[in-house]
Amino acid sequence: MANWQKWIAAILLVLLAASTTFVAGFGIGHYVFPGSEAAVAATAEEHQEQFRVFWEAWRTVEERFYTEEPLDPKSMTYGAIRGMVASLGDRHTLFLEPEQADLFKEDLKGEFSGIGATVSMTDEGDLRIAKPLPGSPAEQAGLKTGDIILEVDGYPIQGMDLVQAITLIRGLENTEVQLLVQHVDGGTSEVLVRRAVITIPTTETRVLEGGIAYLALWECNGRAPREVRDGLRTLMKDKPPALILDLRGNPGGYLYVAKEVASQFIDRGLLLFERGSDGSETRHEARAGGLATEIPLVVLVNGASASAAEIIAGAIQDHGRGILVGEQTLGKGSVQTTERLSDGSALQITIRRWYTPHDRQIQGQGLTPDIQVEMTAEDLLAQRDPQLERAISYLLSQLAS
Amino acid sequence: MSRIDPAYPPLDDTALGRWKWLFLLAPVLIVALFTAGFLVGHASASGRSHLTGSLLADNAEQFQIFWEAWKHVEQQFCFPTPVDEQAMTYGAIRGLLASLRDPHTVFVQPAHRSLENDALQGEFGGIGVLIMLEENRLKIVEVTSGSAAEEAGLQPGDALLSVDGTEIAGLDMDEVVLLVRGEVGTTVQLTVQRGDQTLSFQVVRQQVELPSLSWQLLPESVAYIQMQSFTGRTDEELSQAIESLRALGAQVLVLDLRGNGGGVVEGATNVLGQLLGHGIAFRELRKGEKERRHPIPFGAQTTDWPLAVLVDQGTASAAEIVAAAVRDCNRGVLIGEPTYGKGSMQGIFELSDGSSVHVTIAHWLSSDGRPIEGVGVQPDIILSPARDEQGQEQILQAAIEYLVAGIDSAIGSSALDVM
Repeated sequence: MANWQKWIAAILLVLLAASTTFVAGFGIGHYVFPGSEAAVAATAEEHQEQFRVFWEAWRTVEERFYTEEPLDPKSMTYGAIRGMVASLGDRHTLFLEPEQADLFKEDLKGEFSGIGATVSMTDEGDLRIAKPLPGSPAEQAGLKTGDIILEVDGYPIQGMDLVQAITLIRGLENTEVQLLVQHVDGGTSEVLVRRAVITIPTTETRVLEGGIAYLALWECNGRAPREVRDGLRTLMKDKPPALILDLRGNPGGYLYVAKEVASQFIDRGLLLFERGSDGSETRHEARAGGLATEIPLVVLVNGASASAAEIIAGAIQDHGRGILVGEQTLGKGSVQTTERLSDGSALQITIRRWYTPHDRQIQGQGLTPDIQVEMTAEDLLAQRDPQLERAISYLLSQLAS
Repeated sequence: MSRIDPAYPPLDDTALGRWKWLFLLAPVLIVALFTAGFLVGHASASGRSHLTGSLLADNAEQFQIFWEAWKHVEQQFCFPTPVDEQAMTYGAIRGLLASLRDPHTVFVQPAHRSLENDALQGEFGGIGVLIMLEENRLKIVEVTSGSAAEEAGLQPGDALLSVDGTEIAGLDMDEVVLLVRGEVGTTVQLTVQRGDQTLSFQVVRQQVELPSLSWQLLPESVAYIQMQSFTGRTDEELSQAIESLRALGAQVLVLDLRGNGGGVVEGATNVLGQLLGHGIAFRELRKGEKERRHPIPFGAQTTDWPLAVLVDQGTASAAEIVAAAVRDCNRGVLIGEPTYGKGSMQGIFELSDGSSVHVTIAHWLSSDGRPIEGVGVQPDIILSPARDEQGQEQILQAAIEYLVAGIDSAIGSSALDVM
């Protein structure tokens, strides 16, 4: 992946505040109820024999483990869940502690209340502003890329993890948060920021040379269907000769969003199908009424296009609805659901795999673009976009012939 | 703790680093990996299984979400493999221990544990060959002279095909080693490939002893003892080495504890018995108990040779106890790098299905009460030579110069007394 792609991926991951690339299928429907206490107790009962060694280990720790801190049964329980989940050997099946689970959910909605800056945790444990979003409270307060947040409301950040730090900074709309900031251009000062509802930018629309319409979709969050629809409506008014859909750096999101977005470009037919390990199949058909089902189409993809973004790109490619330009996509062909546990923590579980309409498996392979175009570090430095240029020249030559 | 290098024989560890001293030395490596500081009997959990019920009740509410998570996994998880309840249980134990944030508190599955016991005890029933992985095949590279394997006719170069009829292709090394080992006096059948031939050998397992030290007499009457680990036999090996070295005219001692990852603590206190003969070996802090002082056992033969102890970042655990006591009691000089800093003791607790947990049950303080865990022992003379033959030579020379200069001045002053 070229640098800028990594950069974009990193920003999005920070926005998502999740530890993996995001997934299709969040909230696919909680068709299995968490279960009554009695049902949970029955599960415990059922595995009692198998699980005895666990309690032996727990007991040994309680009785013998030497530590200056008191034992924390909650963190031990969380540790046990994390270890149990890790034994499944699937990096998309994850345990999220309550704070993480809340952030995760907020981010998926595409909006939250905070200061409106993307941040990253450096290797040294510094919380650094990656970018204040345009017009955000963070920008208005004068925060700049590279500033380091030392304290939040008097709490030192050093030693916290990213999620803890983000949780402190976020809060209710119209409340204030006091930051001690080490400025990138020197000096340290207290900065007071009033929190506001922040909308994570999801789409971008432009009109390119020759009147070609351009729509970028940064992630498939809950705001995406509406933004894509509104964006297309505006773009299509001018009757553009062709359309470029940019899915580069799109890490995915909800499965239903992928279907909604794909349905804007594909009139009818299969968009994808899912298979469970029991062989069960679920078919997902295009919903009629798309706004851009006829217009010549190119989809831009790269190694950071994943999951729900791959669903959209794969359906367009299989239907011959448009061509893919760019680089091989990431290859995440599994579907997760997220289950809240009773204390507010959550479990994200891989429940199915998905396949393109032509029954292509994406997992570990990704989609191969019809026209492969690399993006190099030099291109980035020179602010060139050879992938977009290639898409434009392809469309112009198609239109000419 | 993966830094442990089974340097054997002394002064030449570079070539051997690439080899798998499977039957002979792999257990030493395993001790290092699991950083076992101590063997606290095997508190068999089955004896208190009646407690599991009440414990479950105590933590039921807190622990409820674990079962919620388990249920979700059971009902919904599909890929990439079907769920394995045992793996999930073991995973839960691993996660439980990981939450304690102590690198030495770990879970060990059954197969590994018994190799590890062999290593801690310093002996097991084996056949006396050294094997290594070569082009994906386990090959015999050395046959110990006088061993059962030599008697049976096994030769270096033989590639192992099966053990007691079990094909070894696809097994991991630990599993193969466990198949070959067994009770002393029993027979194991090995099928090997030698050139184009397939040959079978019946070998009677014999006692194989893992040496924990090696020694040699260097010029200028310098006794050099390299101690790789502390086992149940270290005390005896050391007294034999000292006796032999004394007979050869040794006058000063260089004890090389570099790369020594520890082992059985008793081995370390016994070594101090032979070097110091009295005093406090180390202090110990346990959960809910007062500080415990561990005396240095009375040494039947205590040597008063001037002493230099070589240490490095791989000197850990029981080896740090020895180094710290030598420093605290002014018994000798420490030369080398600051040590690893593992001043904690693990109990090995066997669980009812044969797996075990290593749990940190105590922290150690040096003889003078200085912490070791996370800090290490500072040498008197800091030297950080390259890890090659030249560096080896350099640090040894520094030790010898220090010791031999000491002798000269001692002789000088006694000569003055006479005058």
